[in-house]
Amino acid sequence: MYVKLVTSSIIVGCSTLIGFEFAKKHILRTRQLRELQGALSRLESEILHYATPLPEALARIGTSTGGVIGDLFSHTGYLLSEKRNLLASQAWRQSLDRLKDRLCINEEEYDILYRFGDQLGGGDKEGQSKYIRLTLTQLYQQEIKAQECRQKYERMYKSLGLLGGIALAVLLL
Amino acid sequence: MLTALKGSAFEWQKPVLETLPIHIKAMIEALPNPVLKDLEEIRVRENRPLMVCSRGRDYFVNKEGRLVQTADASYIVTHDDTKCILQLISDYSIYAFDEEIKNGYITLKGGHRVGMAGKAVLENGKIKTLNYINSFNIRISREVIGAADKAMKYITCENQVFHTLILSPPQMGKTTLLRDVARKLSDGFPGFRGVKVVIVDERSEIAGCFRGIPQRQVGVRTDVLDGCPKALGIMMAIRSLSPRVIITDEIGRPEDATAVEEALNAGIKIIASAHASDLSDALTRPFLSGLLSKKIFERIIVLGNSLGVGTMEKIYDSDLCTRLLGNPVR
Repeated sequence: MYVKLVTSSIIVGCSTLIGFEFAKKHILRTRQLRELQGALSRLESEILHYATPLPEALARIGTSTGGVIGDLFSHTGYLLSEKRNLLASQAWRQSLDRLKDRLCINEEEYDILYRFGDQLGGGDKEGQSKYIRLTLTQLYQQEIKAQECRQKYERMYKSLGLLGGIALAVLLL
Repeated sequence: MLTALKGSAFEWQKPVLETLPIHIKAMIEALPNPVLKDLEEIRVRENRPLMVCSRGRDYFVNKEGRLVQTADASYIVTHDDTKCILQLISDYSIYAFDEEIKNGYITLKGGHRVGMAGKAVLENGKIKTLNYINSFNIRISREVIGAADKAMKYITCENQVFHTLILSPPQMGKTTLLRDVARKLSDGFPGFRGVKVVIVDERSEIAGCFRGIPQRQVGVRTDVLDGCPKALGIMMAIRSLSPRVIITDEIGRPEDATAVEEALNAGIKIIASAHASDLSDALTRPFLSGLLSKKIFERIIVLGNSLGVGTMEKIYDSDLCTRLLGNPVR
């Protein structure tokens, strides 16, 4: 009896954790999209008001943002300052690809970021600001979608994990 | 002799080669040593052959960095190459160089200049920016310490400095001479105590400033107004920097003349340069002839290359008749 109780607790616990893990992806996606918007707004300010060189601006934003989004900016800045033969778009793409495991954004959002990277550092203040604003709008729309998904699936995954675990425990034992 | 180079003859390489895509960098590095040593320009034009200028002539360069006779055998510059160069020369920050791009050049660390060509975008009849930049002239700047050694006795007398105009065709060393004159006047030399000097460096050529810091030896008592229009810079210097001497290059606009006269009235000495092949050429230009006829300049130095780049061909007094130099000197 004691063994059964422990085993079923383990099954329910694991299943709940899996459910939470699925839910976490939705939470992180929303958070990362919001952090991306914050970082891009700061980049716009560095470009428009201070004309800070791109590698320096990216490094600065990376440090202040932290987390995986901070790493995306810091690593791009690092590539630009160290490996002098990359285009800014290539450095941005490489950083995005390198952090794919830690980023919780979907394909559509990757496309938005790749398209943004293609214009990075490649135009005057006005042009750069325009591209950043366009990306910000697109990311904001994605954030709204992500929030809707989160509301829809977060509780579902958590409940599913718990209930699935209980059901499995009942069936097996 | 204009020979005393600062450091190595190849010290230009690091800042210049950093602006090139890795394969073009390898081609330049593989150039024959004599050509590389005296390299003056690297010409990069999209869809056209890679070229270099050295010792007064240009050469086609092939993929291996060898000099070839025909354009067909040379390396053809691609769109990716020019795109990469534009990002590298601006440190991936074209937005930070709006004004420089409008003027058609960016100054690199070390004072080397990259001239650019593309499609001009106009606004109210003035250039707003350059678009589709596809052509670069990477001009290697060399500092020649001692270039002004032989000129100083004509420019100064005891502790006095003469108003001086340097006339020269392009690439004859007038900026090099101006820079060394600034250094000598500022640091002083036997028989002359250093004086405060202001360089109004509209095109960042004299002091080769990078982010405001002179990259060339311009003297301990020298302040540099970098990227500042000449007329405005001269007025600013008079008001706030109390110079004894103002040095500027390529005067030629009416407002420059007004500023020069203003400096004269303030008791400040002016040393300037202008494009002209010799005195008779200068006298045919309305602006220069106006300045010369007012006898503002007490010394007029004409540069040429009869004994090599930087030769002082003639030096005139303010009456334009007295020649102070018997034979060309280099």
